[in-house]
Amino acid sequence: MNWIAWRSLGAAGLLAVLASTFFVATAASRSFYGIDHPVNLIFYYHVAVAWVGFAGLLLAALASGAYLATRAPGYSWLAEACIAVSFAFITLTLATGSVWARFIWNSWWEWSDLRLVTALVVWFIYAAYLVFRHQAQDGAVHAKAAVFSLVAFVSVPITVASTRLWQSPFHGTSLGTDSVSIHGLAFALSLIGTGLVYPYLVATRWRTHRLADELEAIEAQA
Amino acid sequence: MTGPELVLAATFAAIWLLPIGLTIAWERRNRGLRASIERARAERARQGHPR
Repeated sequence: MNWIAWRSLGAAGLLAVLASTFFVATAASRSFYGIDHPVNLIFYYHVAVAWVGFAGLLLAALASGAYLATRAPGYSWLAEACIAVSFAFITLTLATGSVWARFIWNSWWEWSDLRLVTALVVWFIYAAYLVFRHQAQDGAVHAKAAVFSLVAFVSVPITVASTRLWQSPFHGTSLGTDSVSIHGLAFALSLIGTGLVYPYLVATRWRTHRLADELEAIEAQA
Repeated sequence: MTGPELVLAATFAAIWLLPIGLTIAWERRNRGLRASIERARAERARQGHPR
């Protein structure tokens, strides 16, 4: 896939999110869990970035496994790129969730809520991965980082399933409940748009690794 | 605009600005790396090495 195609993917993603914003602003219900407030509209972005961000961490774990099996640097670059973008998306998830909670729960954060705490744990684990991965550009660090990524991924399904595994005092399940009425098209566009922007960002980051590697190889020959 | 409305507006802006900011930062870095590669190649060619 050439670079113009990747950029087109990113542009299509932004257009889809823009279209979603139109439907969110004009047609989506502001009433969630019986509370009518415009902040509820954050749902359309909060859930999309969370789902795509967490799905990206699965891709990172697969790429890390492929790196350990083949030692091809491209897989290590892919894992780092996925984690860097997912980390940004999970940061957005936490920030948007916190703003929503401030208006609906009258609290920025609830330590007693397992979904919030497990999501924060994921954020810290992958922040540690990024710090570790960038300490040196050599194969030994990349291999350890790949093992880190595989082990870290255990935290992701726990977070995703937390509202169904345990009784959550605050963060309920958003989908499949009668108290939340979702504008299907707006949510689908937001999810598709986020899902298109994500691979574009990963490809941009991956390209940074490839160019840095190319430069290093030229400088090593000098 | 009231305080809550400002917070809400800033949140919606952040949703847009984060991916756009990452794109600008990483694309700029890639342009810089490409320029460095070209310079390094030109330097090697000047010194008589094959490209």
